[in-house]
Amino acid sequence: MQVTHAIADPAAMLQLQGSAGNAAATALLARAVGSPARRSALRGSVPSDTSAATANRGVLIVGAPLDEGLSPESSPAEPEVLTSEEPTASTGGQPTSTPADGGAPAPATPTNAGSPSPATPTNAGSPSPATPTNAGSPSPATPADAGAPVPATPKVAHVVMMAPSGSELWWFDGGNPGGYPSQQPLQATAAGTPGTFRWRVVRGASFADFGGSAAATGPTVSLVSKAPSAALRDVAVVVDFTGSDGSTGTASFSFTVRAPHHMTRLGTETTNNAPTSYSTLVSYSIQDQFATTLPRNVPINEKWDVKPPKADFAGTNWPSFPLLEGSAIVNPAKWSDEVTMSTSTPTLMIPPILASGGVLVESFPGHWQVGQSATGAGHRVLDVTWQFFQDRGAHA
Amino acid sequence: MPDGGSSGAPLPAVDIGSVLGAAEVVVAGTVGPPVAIDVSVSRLHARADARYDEAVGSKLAILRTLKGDARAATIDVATLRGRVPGRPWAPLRDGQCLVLFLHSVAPPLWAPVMPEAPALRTLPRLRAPTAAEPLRALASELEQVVERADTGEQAGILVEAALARAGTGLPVDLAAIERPAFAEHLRRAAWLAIALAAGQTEALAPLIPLFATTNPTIEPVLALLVPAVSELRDPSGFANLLALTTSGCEDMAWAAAYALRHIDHPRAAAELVGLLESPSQRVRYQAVMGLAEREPNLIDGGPAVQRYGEDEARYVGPWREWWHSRCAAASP
Repeated sequence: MQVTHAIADPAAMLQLQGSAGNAAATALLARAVGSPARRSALRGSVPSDTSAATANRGVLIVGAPLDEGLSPESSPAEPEVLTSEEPTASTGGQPTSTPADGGAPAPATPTNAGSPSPATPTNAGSPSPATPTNAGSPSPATPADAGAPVPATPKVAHVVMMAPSGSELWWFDGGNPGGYPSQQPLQATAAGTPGTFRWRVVRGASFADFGGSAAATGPTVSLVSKAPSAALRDVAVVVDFTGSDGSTGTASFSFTVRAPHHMTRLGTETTNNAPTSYSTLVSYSIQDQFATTLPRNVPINEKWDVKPPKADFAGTNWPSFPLLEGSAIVNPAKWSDEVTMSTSTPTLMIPPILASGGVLVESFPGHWQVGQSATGAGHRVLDVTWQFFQDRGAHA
Repeated sequence: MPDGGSSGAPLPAVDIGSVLGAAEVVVAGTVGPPVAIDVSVSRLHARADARYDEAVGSKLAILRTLKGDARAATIDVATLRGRVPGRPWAPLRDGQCLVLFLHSVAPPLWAPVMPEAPALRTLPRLRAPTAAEPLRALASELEQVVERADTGEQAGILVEAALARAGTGLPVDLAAIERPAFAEHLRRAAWLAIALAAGQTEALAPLIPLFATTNPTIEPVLALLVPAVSELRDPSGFANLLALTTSGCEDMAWAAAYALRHIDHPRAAAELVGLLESPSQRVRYQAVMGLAEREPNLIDGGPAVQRYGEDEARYVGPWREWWHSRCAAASP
């Protein structure tokens, strides 16, 4: 028998869900879909936070009996039960989930393989809600059982899972920029009952695990990112509890591993001071794999793949080698790369800097990496060719 | 042989308020001819290296003092210049008009607080600022640049001033766009961008006609407008954002859809479902993700960009079905 109670901070973009393949959990998820209160609360849970404070918010994952909070009448301002697993004696306290997958997130209900599946409340075989009315008490013996050992009703443990530092998980290909946690401590308790906590990543172990293993034991573990998620909430973590008094319980939780993925060109602006100089600002924003702009400042660096630049204008004497690749901590909502050319002796420039028009003089390919300041470190997100025209700079 | 030039270097995030706070003196002025200076490059920036960089002196004629006491009509300013290409410094150039955030390095010598960031170019002969408080005075100075800059030759200056003005976070007087100068689309768009960056959601309404079709004249300010719109979270802007999702400028349509994805509004789910029919895939993706973030129980309903692009129908269809079933369930 297992019971999961789950409450999540709705502002922390977490979702609790049952173990993959657990029909009871799926049924309850469907109930949550239909709940107006549920929808209302979740509107505040979209990953739009732009404050470091939100990232550091602890998350309480468990806590209330099953039928509390799923009611449409529940207040969005109160902690909300997101999902729960029904007590199922047949599982003997172990979730019916499949082991961690090999990389692709699997639908929890594989009724429509390959497509997103709305959870339906009609799951055949869904166990009836079981509120153990005699938990902890031996069942009265019947005459037929006389003389035989009477199996005691398993005790229900109220398992609480917590993410005290928040639920964000990021992956920067080895980078670990400040404010972007690449691992999160998870804690579990069972109302003080001594026992054993066994943790498993039951889905998405290719995206995050417990530092090299999809399983761990103990009241506290650390979930570590390994690769970018392929879909929202595709890392499912389950903790099973076995108490020294025989009680059992479990809780599950889903995470998303975010990573910088692409940059969006916002615009190009040139200030031309011909014949001595020009300065072009090429502006971008930085998004993760779900097209969400990264929430806080982040280090980036440029790496030039070809040195010296290619002379596109035969006979040019413009600077032929870039010495220092740049890096900076930028605002991912808008940052700019400055492409400049200047001289104090314009008459010697071949060809000259022009106020407008002219040809491409030199160029070189390279790329941008996000998450570290060191050149060539971090996650590669954009390939560009730096171009120096007579009147402006550009990215191609 | 040319002595200058550099390649791409990312500009650091600039918080105008912090820069202003770190500056002992903030002046608007015009750069004059070079002057001899004797200062170690390491005093100007931690990454400066005497092997590759040199300190360059400039005499600055002060037009306006926005903070502190410059103590003279002209001051000597030290900046860095690379001896070789590729160094990130942006030296001052004779004749430039600037707003400079300065700190003392060796009195009476001053240096920019952030030598790697381009100085703020402004126009000469500005009216005196009307407010005494430094940030307000700076904002006033920059507003005048936006209002007076030539939108042709000085479009870059206008945009740069608008960007810096937006960085102050102070609201602007939206009624100003009724003045004749704001009939020019670029200036009007820049003003609205400043307002939106300051959270003035009412600036969305006058933005809609500007973006009804592709408008090349306001392209220089898109880099300011798009993030400003996309970061709006005020539910009162919901209807206007929805109107902007049909903009002929796809960047603006995307920005509006991105904001709608994240806004808490009673009609959010219904309107996001409507955006699934947008002609722009970028808008449709934002709609899918907005729904997935609101309704996490549609399994695998929130794919990463790459997966979505590989098989869009796989993700859009189930959300349409989900909505139809929701509507059917709600019908008596």
